[in-house]
Amino acid sequence: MAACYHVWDHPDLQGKDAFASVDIDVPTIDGSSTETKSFQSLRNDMDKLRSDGVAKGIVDAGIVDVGTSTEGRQLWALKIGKRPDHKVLFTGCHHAREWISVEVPFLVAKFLIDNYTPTPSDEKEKRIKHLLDNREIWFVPLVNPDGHNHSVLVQRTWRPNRKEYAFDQDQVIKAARFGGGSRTIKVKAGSYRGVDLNRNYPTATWGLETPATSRDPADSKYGVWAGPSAGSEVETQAIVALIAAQNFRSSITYHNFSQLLLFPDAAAHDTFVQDVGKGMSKLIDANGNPYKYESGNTLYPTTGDLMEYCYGVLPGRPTFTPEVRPRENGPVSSFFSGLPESEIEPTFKENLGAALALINCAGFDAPAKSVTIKWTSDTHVGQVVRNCWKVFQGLSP
Amino acid sequence: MSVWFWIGLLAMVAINGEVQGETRERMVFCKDRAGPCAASSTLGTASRGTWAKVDDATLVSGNPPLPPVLYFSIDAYQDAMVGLDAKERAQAILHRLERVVAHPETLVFERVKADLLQVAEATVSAGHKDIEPILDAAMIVSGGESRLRSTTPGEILDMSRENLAQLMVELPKGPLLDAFAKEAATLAGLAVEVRQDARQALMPFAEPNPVYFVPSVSEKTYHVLNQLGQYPHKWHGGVVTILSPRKLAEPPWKGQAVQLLYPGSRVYLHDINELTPAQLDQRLRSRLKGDLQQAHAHFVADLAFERAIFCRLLAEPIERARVPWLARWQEAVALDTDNIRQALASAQPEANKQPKPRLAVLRADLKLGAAILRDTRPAAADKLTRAMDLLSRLAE
Repeated sequence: MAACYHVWDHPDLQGKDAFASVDIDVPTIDGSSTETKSFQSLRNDMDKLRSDGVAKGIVDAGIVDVGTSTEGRQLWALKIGKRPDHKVLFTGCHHAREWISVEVPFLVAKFLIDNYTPTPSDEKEKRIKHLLDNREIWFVPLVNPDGHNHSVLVQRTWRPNRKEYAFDQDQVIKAARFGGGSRTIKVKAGSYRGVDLNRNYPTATWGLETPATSRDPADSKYGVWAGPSAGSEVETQAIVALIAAQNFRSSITYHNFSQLLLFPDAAAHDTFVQDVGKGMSKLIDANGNPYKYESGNTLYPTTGDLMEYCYGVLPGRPTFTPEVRPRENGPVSSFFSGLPESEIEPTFKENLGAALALINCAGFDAPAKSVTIKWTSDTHVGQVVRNCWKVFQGLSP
Repeated sequence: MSVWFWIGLLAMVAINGEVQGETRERMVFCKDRAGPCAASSTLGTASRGTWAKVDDATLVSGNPPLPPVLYFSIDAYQDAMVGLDAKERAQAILHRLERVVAHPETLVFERVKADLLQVAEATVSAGHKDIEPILDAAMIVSGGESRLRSTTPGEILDMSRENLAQLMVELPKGPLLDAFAKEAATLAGLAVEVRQDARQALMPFAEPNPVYFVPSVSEKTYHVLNQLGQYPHKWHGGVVTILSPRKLAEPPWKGQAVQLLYPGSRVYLHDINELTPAQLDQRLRSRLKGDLQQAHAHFVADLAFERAIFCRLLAEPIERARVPWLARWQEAVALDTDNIRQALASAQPEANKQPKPRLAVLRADLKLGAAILRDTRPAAADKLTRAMDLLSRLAE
């Protein structure tokens, strides 16, 4: 069966089997025409993973979502694994048009559930059993379901959520800039729709303007409005509440595009986070399609984003943002929601090792150590290397 | 009156388009000289075959599969090849084969929608009021009644208002804008009632979305533009990018001698997706010298037509939800259709007063499109047949 993208849900897929698909007519990226694409229901497929996982004793049947969107759509969730003191968070699709960012975390969850066996017979199965016996992994692959629905059906390039804010009269906002300085924004009375969820997290820097973060509601059209206040959006609040309740030991949030693996700028000198990040980068690059490993602030700083938030509230814990396929100088038709369905599986595969490494590293607090052991009774010298990411080198899906 | 207009129009099309023997020529790609390619006139050679023109009668009478249709008209082909040397032409043909023809459904639907717009413009310019069959046909090729089934009535009302606001920012002050403002007020009243919120009376924010050439852009800014979906294209030491006029007053754009190339982003996105670098260079050069006023008129007509289709796509979920405000929604849509008609008429006040040849082109393209899609995308071919039936039934 050919891979296809998910929609949050669709009336034509209700009551259908998991992984069933339906053809939906969607606008082309430039909006000038229509194309027919096959979609699966994320609701159906998450339900199936949940029931399969429950049957194997590795999924919590009681966790279906972690909140509800502005328009009332549930933020579907899966909780996999048995060890609640080592928790990991996977999120996807803060930005509506980044369809592939739903698929990667979904496929990682599917891979773990499909490949779990209580009686492993090979190295891969042993590794997966170890992860699920010793970690608790939360998957929220579609954080922005309203925006995603709009991107699929109405405007392929839509990025923020669909929340509307009405300003009864003209307003003046004094906006501080990240790195110093400020500007005055004159906001005209009117209704503005769409907050960038990945600029809305209540970080210490929320609302500081950058080339890709704005306090001007009119910039909702570019999808970079940080919102009226820190954490104003119900979708953001749901993730913040989840983080507060679960105390995650590592986290990852998927985006596209550019083929980058980003780490928090504040973690640039964090030995453990850098060890994990560089390891994950090596695991991705080993698949032959390299992602550049760099600070999230290298090309332009962002404020109020999830990665920065996670590192702020959980300092020292690994947290990353992969910007997955396509590469920046690829054909523009493949940017964002234009990434062909044939790229879903390769994108998942090249990210799988890094994802598993991140899960594993949630159980660690420091980089690899070489411990030399000498036996006094004879001349043997042993060496134990603990390395949370290296064990996934060469893993094949 | 409308039925008789269509009966007359379609009858004349039959005479002009078929009985009198007028036939359309298409540009196809031929791997060999078999089938319809045997009777084609070769215009050029590329590594994997030749490109040639062939008439419809030959093309659709041959055994399937049809050779790939590169361009639906010779004019479109010639327009795409302006300024290219032989090598660049061959590259352009192969690029189109891989990038555009590989998605025949999109190619056909885009062509048919453009035809429908032209027929609608010509129809209203000729003084005829009934464009419903054209809009219904356009709705079918845009995804039909079920496309927005997963969307709630409240969302639909919001979408309709946003869409209208986007159209209104493109219109100059005058009676047409006033008419749309009246429609916007009707929808706002409905939104206040549905959402139980007086602030719904406020107009959704919208602003133009043009494309400029900016002579100097840093690598970092280029990256930001890319990430924000403004589709920058490096050109002549600068960048062509989607950018609102509001932004031009802010750094890093402030003070730059920008040049407007496209009044809206749609045609630009189309060009950067479909053209080779050599073609795009020619296209951008010609746009620098082009008639932007005319381009804007086309753009507004396209937006208006798109809105008319959108309102029809929105109808099904509202009707299915049996909302108590259905009648008022329908009144607003009727008002919208009136306004759209005015917008289409004012887009091309002098040209296109001949709906007959436009309709002939549409029918020929629908027929060819159905033939192209019949084997590989039967559902899409059915849509074209339904669109054709819809127009034909009016004539019966």
